[in-house]
Amino acid sequence: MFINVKYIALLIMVLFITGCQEDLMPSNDPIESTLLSREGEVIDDLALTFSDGTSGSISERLSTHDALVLYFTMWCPICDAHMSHIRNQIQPQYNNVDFIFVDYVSGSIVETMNVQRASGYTDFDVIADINNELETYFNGTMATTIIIDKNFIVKLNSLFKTGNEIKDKLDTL
Amino acid sequence: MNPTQQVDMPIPEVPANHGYGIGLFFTLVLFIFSFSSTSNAASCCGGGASSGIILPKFNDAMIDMGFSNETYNGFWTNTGQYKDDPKGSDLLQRRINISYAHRLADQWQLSVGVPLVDNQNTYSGEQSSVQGLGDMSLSLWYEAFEKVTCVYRINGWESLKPSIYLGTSLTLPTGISPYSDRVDSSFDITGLGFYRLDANIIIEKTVYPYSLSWQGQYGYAFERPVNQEYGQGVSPYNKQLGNRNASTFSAAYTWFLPNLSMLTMTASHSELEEKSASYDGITDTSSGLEKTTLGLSFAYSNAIRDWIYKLGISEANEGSNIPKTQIITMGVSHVY
Repeated sequence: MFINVKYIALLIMVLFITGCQEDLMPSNDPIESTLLSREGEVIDDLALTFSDGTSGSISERLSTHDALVLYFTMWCPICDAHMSHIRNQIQPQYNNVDFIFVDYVSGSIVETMNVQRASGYTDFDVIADINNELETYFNGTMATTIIIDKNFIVKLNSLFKTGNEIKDKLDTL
Repeated sequence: MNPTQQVDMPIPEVPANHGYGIGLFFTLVLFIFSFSSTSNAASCCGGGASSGIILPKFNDAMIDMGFSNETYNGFWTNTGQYKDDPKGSDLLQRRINISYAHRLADQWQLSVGVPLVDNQNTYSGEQSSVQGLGDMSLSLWYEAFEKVTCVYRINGWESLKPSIYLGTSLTLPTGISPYSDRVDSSFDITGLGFYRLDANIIIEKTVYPYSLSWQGQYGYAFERPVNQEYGQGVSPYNKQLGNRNASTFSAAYTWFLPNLSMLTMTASHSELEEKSASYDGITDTSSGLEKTTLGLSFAYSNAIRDWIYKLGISEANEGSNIPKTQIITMGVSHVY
């Protein structure tokens, strides 16, 4: 059978040229317009509302711990994998660090508590970010991880990768 | 080879044209689910790699159009524990898959798959609606047999010879991935965002009216640079998804209808595993996934075997790090 190489080559070329909807080879520079990291900044003493209805603040939590780790969750499978990793692989090694999950999607204290129970994370404190104050302040999204030290300095503000980035920062405190 | 030419087939009990048609038809039918199980896009896991469609032995080209509706119902954690989605969640992904296969030579064929994806999601109070191209695929297949191997009865060792297809598929990151600026969560994506090269093998044997097949797939995802994720800029890093392997067993039975048309029922069992991803060479132990899927499909072919209508359902029944989904698929294929 005759193979029309010209048409095959054209087809492959069209696939490659028209297909990609994103930059598959981005530069090594962060995207400055969207990289709104607070890493290195001294932050405000933010008020916190928890899923059990209690209130608190950053300063309160840091008064009894060396550092505070916030993980932004929408309770999805990927979030669950990260949260499970934090619970099983990281938290046990850092007894004096306060690990808190931030529910930035449920929209109410009751819903946050419901989904926290259903997801099996009643052993953790969960912030109900009802008015998206933390989400806005830290430019949070799914899997955003924040580490705040005793001096209110943000030591990490990035998305969860392997968990090693959290350990590396906590080890330097 | 022209379909009207003589085919080496022992003692046909139906007209010759019907005979080879059945064998070719089986090839089409058997891979309905092997295709869908490995190409399902499951918004969390993206487009995945697909092995594409298989062109019948004696045809020059085929076009296939399928519609699939994938609903989500909870997920399995990385330890395999099942969890419900948050109350009020409603996750749906609809896909239109348009595929074209072209015969390059007697034993070589090429196929292209173009998925169009529609995500309609409500999760934890967050609503999103994303439409776009999925990850396209390009497949090259070699048929390691010259004559049709389907038989009506076993008559010595020669008649046990199966049909073996060897192929390679390239998945192109044409969909909306977690690394584009058009997504806010893992439910918005329509593709994985990685080039993936798969090696495929299909072994199929038909002894009318029964047929068995196995499809194996091993995929390698190429590392890529990332500087944004879920719409948020990140410090640049290189990410590589883990290697993916999939295995699908299928068993089929065909009813020969009075008007020489055929109805085939296929049951399939698929297993998919993806190893852990890595960031700058460091393994992310919270990633990787596994899924076991059961499927049942029906395919109707007209007497001439140039039109095939397909309907199927598949459901994931076990897994880890992946949503539990059910996929209903409808499709039609036309061969030339």
